[in-house]
Amino acid sequence: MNEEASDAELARLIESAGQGAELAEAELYRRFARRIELYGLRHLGSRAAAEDLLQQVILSVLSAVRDGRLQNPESLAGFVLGTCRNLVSDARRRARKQRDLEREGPGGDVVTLPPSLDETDVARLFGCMGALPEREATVVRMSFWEDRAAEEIGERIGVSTGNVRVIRHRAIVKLAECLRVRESLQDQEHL
Amino acid sequence: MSCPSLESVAAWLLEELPQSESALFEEHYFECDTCLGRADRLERLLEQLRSSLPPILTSGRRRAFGANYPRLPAVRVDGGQRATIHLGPRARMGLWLMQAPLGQVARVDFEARAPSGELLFALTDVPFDEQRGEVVLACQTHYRALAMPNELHVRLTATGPDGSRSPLGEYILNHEFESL
Repeated sequence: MNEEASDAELARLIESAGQGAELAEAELYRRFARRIELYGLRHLGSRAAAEDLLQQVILSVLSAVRDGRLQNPESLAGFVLGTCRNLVSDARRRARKQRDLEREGPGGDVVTLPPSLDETDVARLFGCMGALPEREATVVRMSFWEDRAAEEIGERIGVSTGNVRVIRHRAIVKLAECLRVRESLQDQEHL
Repeated sequence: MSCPSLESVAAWLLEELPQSESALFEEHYFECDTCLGRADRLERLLEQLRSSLPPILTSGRRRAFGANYPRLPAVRVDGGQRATIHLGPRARMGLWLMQAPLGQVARVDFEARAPSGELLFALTDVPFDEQRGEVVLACQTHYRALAMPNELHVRLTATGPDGSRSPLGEYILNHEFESL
């Protein structure tokens, strides 16, 4: 399957159920899987829920395309997004119901995940944190390592909640850029 | 719609983009490989941040640590004292429990120096456990990659509710690494 094939070509191939349909389905998965997963993480907040969403969306989209229920093959991406939105909405309803049930039971401590023991590159991350301006590093630390809300961080460092968010977005972008530069430098050293 | 800034993609991932902008971005993102690549890279960073070991632990994280790693070495050290922690293949992480009178304290600042006096890193307004009278510093074998000395001289400074600052204590923290 040509990776350059348009979404519409993919959809038509899948619907035809003829030669190339199977490869087209694999290409549809390759093209949308990570998108759906990130969408799920963003809207459902957990890796497990995002993985469930991915499976459900792919099954639902493939079934609709195979059955000829995708009216406009040009809008495959929009159809995938629409399916994501519907399924996220269902998942949230189920989660709300579950929370209501749990609220009736005994309460518990907030669960905090243990840190990863993988060989993640601590030196690179800490090096990049150290390169951030102090206020940005403080906002990142308080947000991700101390689980403080933007309101509290704002009070502590003397800026508005909105400003905390702006500082945080800027800091994340700088960290990502710094990590990319350091990764590529390290890759060059290994060559 | 053209590709939004990286900051906007970060805001989307953190659920901090206004709803109307978020909906517009999602329509674009489902068709744009550049934005997928950006979102992917930023999400990986967020995951790395969330799963990495913070230098100073909140009480909640410390409890979670204790529950998940009951045999984790934890060394209690009083102000003005020196102590040693042993890290290696069987204990890749450990905790320093720095004792301090934290009863009437609004804020604690942290400073780590090399034995030569060189400032290694400083953190303002760090978490502390008022009831236990502790500031918990985490350490891990991965930190060796940071090229820091094995011995850290830590200074904690308190800020009271009235804004006055006073030293809480100095701690000499020695790290011994078994071969990994």
